[in-house]
Amino acid sequence: MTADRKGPGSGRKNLLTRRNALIGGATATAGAAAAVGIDTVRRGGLPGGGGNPQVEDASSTAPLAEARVGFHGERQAGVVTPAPAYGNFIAVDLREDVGRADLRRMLKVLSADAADLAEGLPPIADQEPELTEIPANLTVTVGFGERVFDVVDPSAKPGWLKPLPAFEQIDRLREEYSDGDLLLQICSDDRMTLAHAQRLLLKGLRGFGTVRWVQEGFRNASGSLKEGTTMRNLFGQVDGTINPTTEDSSMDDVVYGLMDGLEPWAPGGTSLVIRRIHMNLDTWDEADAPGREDAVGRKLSNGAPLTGEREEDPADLSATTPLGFHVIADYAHIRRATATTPQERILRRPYNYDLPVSAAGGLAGKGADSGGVSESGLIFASYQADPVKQFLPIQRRLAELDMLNMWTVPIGSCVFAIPPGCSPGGFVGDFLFEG
Amino acid sequence: MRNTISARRLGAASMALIAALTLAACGNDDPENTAEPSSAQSADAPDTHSNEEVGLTVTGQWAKAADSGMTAAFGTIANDSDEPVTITGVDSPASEDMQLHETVTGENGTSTMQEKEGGFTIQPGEELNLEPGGNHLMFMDLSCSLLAGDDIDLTLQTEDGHGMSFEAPIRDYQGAQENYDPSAEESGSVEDGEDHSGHGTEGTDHSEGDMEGMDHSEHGGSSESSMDMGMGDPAQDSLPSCSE
Repeated sequence: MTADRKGPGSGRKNLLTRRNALIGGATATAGAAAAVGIDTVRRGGLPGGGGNPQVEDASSTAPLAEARVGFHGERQAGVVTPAPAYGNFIAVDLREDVGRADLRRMLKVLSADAADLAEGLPPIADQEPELTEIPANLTVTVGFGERVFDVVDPSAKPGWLKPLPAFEQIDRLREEYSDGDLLLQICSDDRMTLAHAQRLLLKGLRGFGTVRWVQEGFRNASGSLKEGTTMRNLFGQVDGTINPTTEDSSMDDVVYGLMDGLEPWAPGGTSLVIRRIHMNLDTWDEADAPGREDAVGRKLSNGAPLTGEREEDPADLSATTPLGFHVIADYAHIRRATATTPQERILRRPYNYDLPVSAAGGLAGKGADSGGVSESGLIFASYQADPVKQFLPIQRRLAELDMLNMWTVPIGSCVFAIPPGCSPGGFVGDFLFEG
Repeated sequence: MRNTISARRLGAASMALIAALTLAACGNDDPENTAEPSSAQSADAPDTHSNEEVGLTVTGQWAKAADSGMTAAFGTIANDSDEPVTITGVDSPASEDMQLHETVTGENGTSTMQEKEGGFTIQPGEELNLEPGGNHLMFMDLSCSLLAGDDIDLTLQTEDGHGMSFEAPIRDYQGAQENYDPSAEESGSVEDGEDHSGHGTEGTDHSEGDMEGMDHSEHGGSSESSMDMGMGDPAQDSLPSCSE
């Protein structure tokens, strides 16, 4: 009878049934029952189908197949979420004639689709529903540029939401990596999943705007590093030490503005600054290990400050050599980046990039932002409650003096407001439409 | 929208439950098995408020965005009752003329849509899939624009005079471009495209160089010509939104 009910359609039931068949459901009866079990587990262990051993089989053979990060909540996923292996950042320019009702419709579709994708379910009208089955920690995070507020609710626009001031000493910004009206951050441990999610979401946005730029980033593969290990960038440096953490209140304080001296632009909201940093691997090659460590102030081996043994050791900025010089040099990156106020902290969640090249050879010259056999760098993603109070002072100091500037060139820059998350049935930014 | 989405999200689970229930109902009267589906149906309540009367459950429903002319709606309709149910018609505030359509392969091998004579009969415990390239609910002449992100009301009419209403979310969609044949007897005589690619905005501005322009230019060769025939001049003003 179940077989009779199977139509030729591409309904979710069929997907579940097929997945179950792969797991090993032999009969139609077992198929239906196991499909219920899987679905129940996926929705948080509701009674009725739990304890199905076939589900455990599935996760043990394919650890990422059932790895989900829920879309809904007071805060959007993809910020404090441990960073998956792949992260794409996409800026959209909205059409000139887009109106408030249009953005409402756009955000409804975007949110509904993102929520389905995060669950491993095909969104409405997904023409490749099979590609949604493995979410692999997929997160979709939505950011608003100024334009969204101008159209929807100008009074809600955060005062800091505008391009960062130019850092003329270091910036060589390119339009194709800067600014935008709307941001999508899509992260997943499976590049297939990410590609399909991106395609599907951009199809939904196509009627409302154009893709301004895409920045594709990667980190270590899932399973390569122990959980919580700080990533390395393509200079080989440990990159992201002393991040705020959810193990104490620092993440709430820094990212969501719950500390004195900061204020969230909306409860559960934050901001994202993306700086695309070209890294000149050719001139970096000219620097030997002591020079590299001196430039940053950390050991290459484990990221420990030059005054300590372990990565988590606090840097002793006052320590001096027998000759009286600072152990951590005056121009060292970590000295210049050190917070001067309690608020001056950020959550760094960067991704590396490494673009294909063609007809490439030789060496990139000093200060060059292209050339040589590589096109590599960092998508420096920084989250904080207030970029002007938290990010900008650090960036100012680094622009003024940071030995790393010898080998790096900022080629893209943008600031987005990250709205709070939404509840099931709501959509990202829905609170802006209530007025 | 809220109800529609939540119902939809539960669709897979409830359909599987219904499948399990159907088996149980055929085989035994185990009270545990009858308890589960009732909870599933209550979870689907927003879409199945007519369930007891009509005996139908609609899941995964959606409609293809269009700013004028023709378009279609899809989904899965299950018969939860003990009797066959025949759907004889469909209504929507978006189009005075709506039809139940099937897609058939003609003698020359091309598939065409045509009105389903006698409607769709769904046997007890079975379901009808409405999907692009297959059976669907057809808006013959929109009186307003279906815009992606909005919802449209649809009401299925059954042979015994009942109606079952539900909301279908609207999405932009480039598929569902089957040739439309208004006359089942004269297959191939007139081929109107069904496609009217969705509009992003509520405005009537068709300025070039924006995404609207891209939408049209994306249609290659035959689909583009069928689109022109189907919706007339693509530059014609779009109708006001059905949600206004």
